[in-house]
Amino acid sequence: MKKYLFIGLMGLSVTVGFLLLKFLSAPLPYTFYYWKQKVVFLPDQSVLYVKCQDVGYDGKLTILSSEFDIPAGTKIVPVFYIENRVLIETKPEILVENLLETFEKQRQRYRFTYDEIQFDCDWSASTRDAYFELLRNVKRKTALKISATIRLHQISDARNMGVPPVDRGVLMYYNMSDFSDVHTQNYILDTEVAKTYLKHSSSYPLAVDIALPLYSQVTIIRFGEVVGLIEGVHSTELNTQFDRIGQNRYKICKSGYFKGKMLYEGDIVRIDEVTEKALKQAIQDIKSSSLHGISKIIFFRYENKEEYSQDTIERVIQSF
Amino acid sequence: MGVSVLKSFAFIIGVFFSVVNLLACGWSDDWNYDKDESYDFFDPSIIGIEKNSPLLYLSTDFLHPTSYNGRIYYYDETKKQLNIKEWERYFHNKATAKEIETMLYDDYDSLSPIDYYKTHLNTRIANPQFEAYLLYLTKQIPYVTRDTYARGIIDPNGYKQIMAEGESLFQNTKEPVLKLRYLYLLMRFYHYNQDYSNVIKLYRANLYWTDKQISIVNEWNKALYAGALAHTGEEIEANRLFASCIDHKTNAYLALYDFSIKNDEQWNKLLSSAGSNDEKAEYYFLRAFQGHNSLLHEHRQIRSFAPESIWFERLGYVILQDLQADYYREKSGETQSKSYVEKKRFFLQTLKGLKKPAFFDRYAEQYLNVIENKPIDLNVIRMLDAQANPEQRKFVALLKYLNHVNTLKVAELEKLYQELFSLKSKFTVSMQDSLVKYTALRVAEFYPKKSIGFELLKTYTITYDSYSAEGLQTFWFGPKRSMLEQNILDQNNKIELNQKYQIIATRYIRERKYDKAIEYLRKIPKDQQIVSDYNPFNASLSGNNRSGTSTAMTQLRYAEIMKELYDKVNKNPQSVQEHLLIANGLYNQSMFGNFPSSSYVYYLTWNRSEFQKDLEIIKKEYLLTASLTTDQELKAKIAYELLKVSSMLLKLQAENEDVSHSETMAKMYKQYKSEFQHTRIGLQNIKGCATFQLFL
Repeated sequence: MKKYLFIGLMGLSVTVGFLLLKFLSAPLPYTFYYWKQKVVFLPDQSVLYVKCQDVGYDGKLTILSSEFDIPAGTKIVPVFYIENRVLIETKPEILVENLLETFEKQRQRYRFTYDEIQFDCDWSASTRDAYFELLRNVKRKTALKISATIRLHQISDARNMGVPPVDRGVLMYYNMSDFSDVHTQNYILDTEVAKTYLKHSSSYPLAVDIALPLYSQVTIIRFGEVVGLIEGVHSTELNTQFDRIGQNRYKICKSGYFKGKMLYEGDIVRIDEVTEKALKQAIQDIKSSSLHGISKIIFFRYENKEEYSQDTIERVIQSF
Repeated sequence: MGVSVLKSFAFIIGVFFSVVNLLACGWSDDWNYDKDESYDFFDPSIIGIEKNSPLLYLSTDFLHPTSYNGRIYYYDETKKQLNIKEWERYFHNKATAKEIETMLYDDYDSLSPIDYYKTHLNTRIANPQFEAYLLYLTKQIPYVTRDTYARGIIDPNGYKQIMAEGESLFQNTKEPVLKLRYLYLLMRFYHYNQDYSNVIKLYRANLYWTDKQISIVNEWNKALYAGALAHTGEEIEANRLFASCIDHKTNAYLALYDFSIKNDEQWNKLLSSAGSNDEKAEYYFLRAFQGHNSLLHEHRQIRSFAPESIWFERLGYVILQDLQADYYREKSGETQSKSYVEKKRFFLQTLKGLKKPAFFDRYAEQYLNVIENKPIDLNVIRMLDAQANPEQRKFVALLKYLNHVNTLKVAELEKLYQELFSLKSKFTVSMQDSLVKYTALRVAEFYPKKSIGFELLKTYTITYDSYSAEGLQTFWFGPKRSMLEQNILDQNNKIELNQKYQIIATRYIRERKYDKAIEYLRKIPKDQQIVSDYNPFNASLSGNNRSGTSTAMTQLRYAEIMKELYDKVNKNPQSVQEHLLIANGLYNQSMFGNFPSSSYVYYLTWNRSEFQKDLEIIKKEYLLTASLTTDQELKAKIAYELLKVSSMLLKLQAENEDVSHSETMAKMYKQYKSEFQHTRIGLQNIKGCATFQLFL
């Protein structure tokens, strides 16, 4: 009897151990941000983070609600984008009231489901208190799980920027350089720049998930200043209109249209690409940092998913 | 004293110190005046466009919301006014413009358009056809708005009904004014509901008779038709039509915003469709405003085949505004980019390549010289004089004037003012302001820095608390000012006589010249006197010496008492009571006390060094009072006031360092305890003041 019991226990231990190992080595879950004004997708992924409200201030509070064409009952994480100026111009309680009321109308109309809401705001030291008050108010009124996006500078300067009073953060690991600076190497993902921020993340108390970029663009420089960008461009698409003059820089040799935008002879373009290598490097850097509680990767954004193969995405995730 | 009171006290002290720190950050003695150099010297009449038209106006850049909103507002307003006029004609003047406006545009009127018509106009106009039109217009509104929340949920069957009703009304109406408007309503309805083929069909089928109607409605119909073409892949025709909108009275901005080219093929086809170089030039002109396209490159392109076209000139006009904005932005350090020099070089090269430069081409180059403070070329100015049409002559005068300002000498000031005032009247209000500002900033350089005249001319305002009472007195009541100063004062610094008295008196109180203050305060009616709610001669435990009990003392009465007290101590310098009251008065008239408005015009304009000076004077007075008495209780009371003053001085001296918990601070509080804990007042203070709890 004891012998059988022993064998049984051994078997159970092996099974549990195997399952535990499998669980521990399982790649991190991942999902996407959906950032269009009109939301049309098939829920082929786990829950998507969807921009629902674009809250701005133009003399008065303006809330732009996304329109949905999705099956009723689709589960999402609604994201509220809040322009910094709103926090200066509007009282937190009025903002909360307007926001939740508009959101409720939207929810009733499109009948999606959710158990978490996320706030996206590039708050500053001067708007910090108003923003945090907004977050606390929403938490009080909804009792939902609340998450907030966090920029790299907000983590590295947490003493001044504060830590948002939310259940989880999402570190936006992209757009880390100065867009208007013509000397920027790669506006979207520059792991060297990111590392300088990560150095100061050691005492960040909030558990964060990671948002990684999944898009590329061309930045147009004319007369020594950044004048615009063209989204969704990869270096393989650059034609004879472009003369390479540096690692990721090209000079326009003939005026004409490229992907709907006019480029002029003499313009300099910088291609800000996000490669698999850079994404893997970003993951290594994040792993080596003291950020904690990472439970998923969210790629920005769903609309650009097709530009990257499923294998690439899987390999990036597996490198975590 | 209970815990809650202690907390309140600590809170008040905390808030006060936070405020001090906050205010101190915003001020330094070396504060430089901001030189706001955003000028508006642009008037489209220089290129033959209507004076107030915002079509080609740039507020920093073309895509800036101010430029955009300005255009939309202007055309919305024009559309409204012209629409009202058309309805007035339709009603044969039986309805006034005001009534039509209320009926169709007044959202705040409680009556809907149809109800307003029935209530106010029906008996006079009695037009059942118009009534039917209004009814249909109201019904259609929810179907032609992008505001999905405002319109609510639309019944899908309602769509068909509205369409059928509209078609029927349109077909059965013979009267051309209403028929044209029904056509517009129907086209708009189809457009909003993305039924573009019906928009196109309706427009084309009715062109034979709509073309003969003189109405602004034709402008709207054409725009809807162009939009429908753009949506159905007929981009070339759509662009041609949008381009032609630039001559419209009510929606010319559509040419700038809806003209849209996406690729070389579309562009080449459009150019091939052009009937003339002028038409081609217009397309280049419009393309320059798309997205982030280059005004400068498109301008140069036009030069290659149509340098004499209005489009070359118009684009040059926009570029000049853009360059000016860049120049001042870079000069003020507002932007890191340094594109002005490169852009200017490109622009001037384009102009230099012209065989026959027109008036504006020559003007532009000289204008850039002027804003850069470079001398103008007098030969070119002579050519400009010869080339200018009557409307353009004033712009040559403008160049000459600005050049004069740039090279001004003191002796020429009065002559310059004469020039300014004769030139001003020729320009728009906005340009007049810019002329005065440009002149004022230059003329300010002739005034001693930190003088009232300098400040007034540099910033258009006076920070009263920076000036002595006598200085302000001379400024307001002294010798006659220059025309420019007077003009700026009249425009920006209107101030009532009683207010002037009050400001001068306040400054005198700060200077402790109470007799002078009284002289001015007595001129002010009693009901306009500043009043303290707290006794300004009281000194108590709290930081601001508010005892909690209210009293009412005017600034005048306060000054009178202070004068009496000083008179008494002059007679009897050993009088402890009078010295104590003076010290308390000085304490309370400072930023630290309960009556600072008696010696500061604006709380927010005080500065660190002035506050320090106040505190040193108060300290001196308390020390003197303490030296005159042997009464230990009174000494404890005075020492406590001194403790508050010294703590504040320590904080002010430390500037950005937080010394609230420093050893020096602790030492001061501990010393007070050891010296005065045996007294009743000392013990009361030690127990009652939260700060003691930090250190003891």
